[in-house]
Amino acid sequence: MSEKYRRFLIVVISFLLALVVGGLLMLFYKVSPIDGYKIMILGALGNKYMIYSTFARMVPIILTGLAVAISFHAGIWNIGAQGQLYLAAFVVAAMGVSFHGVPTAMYLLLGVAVGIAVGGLWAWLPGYLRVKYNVNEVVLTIMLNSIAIYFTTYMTNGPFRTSQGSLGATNVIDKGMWFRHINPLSNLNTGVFVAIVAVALIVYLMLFAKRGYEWKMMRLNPRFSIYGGVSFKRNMILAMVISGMLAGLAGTLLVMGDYHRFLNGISPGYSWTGMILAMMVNYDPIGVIITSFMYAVMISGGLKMELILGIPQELVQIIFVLAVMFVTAGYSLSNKLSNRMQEEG
Amino acid sequence: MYIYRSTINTLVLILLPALGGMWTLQTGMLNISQEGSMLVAAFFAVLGSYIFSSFWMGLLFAIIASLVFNLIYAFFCVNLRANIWVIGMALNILASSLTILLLKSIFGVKGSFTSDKIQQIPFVHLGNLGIFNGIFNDFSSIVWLTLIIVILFKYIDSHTTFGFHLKAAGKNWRALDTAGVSSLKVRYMSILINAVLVGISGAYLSIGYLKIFNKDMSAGRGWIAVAAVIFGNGNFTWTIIATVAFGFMDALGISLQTYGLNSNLTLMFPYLAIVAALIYQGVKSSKKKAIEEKQ
Repeated sequence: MSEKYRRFLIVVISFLLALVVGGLLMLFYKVSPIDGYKIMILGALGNKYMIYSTFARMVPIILTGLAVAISFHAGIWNIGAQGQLYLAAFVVAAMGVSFHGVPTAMYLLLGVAVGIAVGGLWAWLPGYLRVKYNVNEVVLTIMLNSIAIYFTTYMTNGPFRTSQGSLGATNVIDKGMWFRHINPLSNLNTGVFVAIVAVALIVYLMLFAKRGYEWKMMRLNPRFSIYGGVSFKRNMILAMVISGMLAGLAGTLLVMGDYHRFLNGISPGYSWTGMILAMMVNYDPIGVIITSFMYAVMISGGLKMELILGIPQELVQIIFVLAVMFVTAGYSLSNKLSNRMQEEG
Repeated sequence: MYIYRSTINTLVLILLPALGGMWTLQTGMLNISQEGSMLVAAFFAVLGSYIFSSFWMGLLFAIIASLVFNLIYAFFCVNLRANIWVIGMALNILASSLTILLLKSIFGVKGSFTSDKIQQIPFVHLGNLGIFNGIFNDFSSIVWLTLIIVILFKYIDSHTTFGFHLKAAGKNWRALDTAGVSSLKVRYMSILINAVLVGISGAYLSIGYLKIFNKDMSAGRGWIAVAAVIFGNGNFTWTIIATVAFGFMDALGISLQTYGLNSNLTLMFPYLAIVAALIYQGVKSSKKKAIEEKQ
């Protein structure tokens, strides 16, 4: 059985198993699992607007998932997607509240460019330090996460505090910078097209481009790739910067598209979810797309389940986490099994 | 004096998981699910204390919950050798969702729960100490317990065979196994000890100086402990120094709020300091290397 096929099978079985456990948990709420899951699917994909909402939910997950996938794919650990997302989102929002009267098309372009640049820069720093001075990038990115989050929280409570009521947010950004909502009932906005382009570029880069192959070799067999003439240092920094750019784009789209302002809790763990997704599918970009779609369906449907059946929406999050853990356990077990078979054979 | 007292109060929260995490790091496992364990423990402390109107039961519930949580972590990361980041983050997300789910299902509330039936962990009043009143009096008993634990840790860490086994399990577990000590057991021990400490810290969070459970109330404290552990890199003194620095900044920030300043600014400093220290370390060691290579 090929490695890829086996992994796919493990993911499918694990998700089914988690759904079974989730179904049993639903019995505690006196809801039949079949009804529960029916409502979940209908709530996520039942009509056009629900599908829109599900896709809107998918955008930040898929971008941060790919961000993590691309850096880990190249053997450098970017744990800092959360910080890159926050800082980029904040800077874009700060720009949006400070400057007015820029022509719309230019402002949109500028906003996206600045967001991507900030995310990339915040990732470049640990990447550069890792390559140049061998500073542990895992530790650095964790610290940079906290710095970015505390900094943005400080700004939204201090200099950029909103004058429009609710606390912990900036003012609404200039209208010229808005990605318009496609429909007032959902968060989906024209920014999704930017995300689609980014995803397509990354899939091409990781699966079909020479650079992607070099990265994979760096992770799987560093000596071979050095022998083959791969510039390790440059590739690592590049992977890190692209990773940061994606995380930055996720934050930018949240500001320019979803909320039209920066909020303190703008990413309730999107990047962490993205990270475990990416690791679960072993940094395969197509896998990230599929699993983040599944995640978005579950979360959107979970809201509906709470509204109609009274099951707390957190239940679907728990089902999802269980699925992730089952997948991980499945990989370990299958590795152990195949090692044993090799030893015996 | 106010800053001193609130430093001590926040310090306890971070110190317990930092010490526990230091030992698991020594055995080669960075435990990043501290935030989640703390949150789960805090919830069960409230639950136990509420059902039995006894803080002892609250503590017990918290410790048991934290043990269960950490055993899951141990099973996945030690036995199955799963990736600590996947499992750790999954557990953190699980903790946040699970506690909100239980809040809704058991107490029927959305964000926070409090009740007169919850009994608080008692404070220690030492009688009238004159000028030392402010320094020693009326701290939670957990504060004194933590002091004892710190001293105990220092002793065990550097003067007992168990302390050496911990380091051996991290540096060379095969050698430890060959010497007849199961590295698996040592790892499990460190994780369980950590679980108990985090359990106490979680209980202190919810029924220590308040009697309330809020959703996501650990608010990054677990992560601060992880940061201190990473900075300390398994060394007792450095872990303590990092923890005290974080605790002080946290308290300073909160008291600066009364002057209209924002606590988030001061909370940034310890992290900036760590980044600066890491860069300094890296630059120094790579320069050294360059000189050696020239010679």
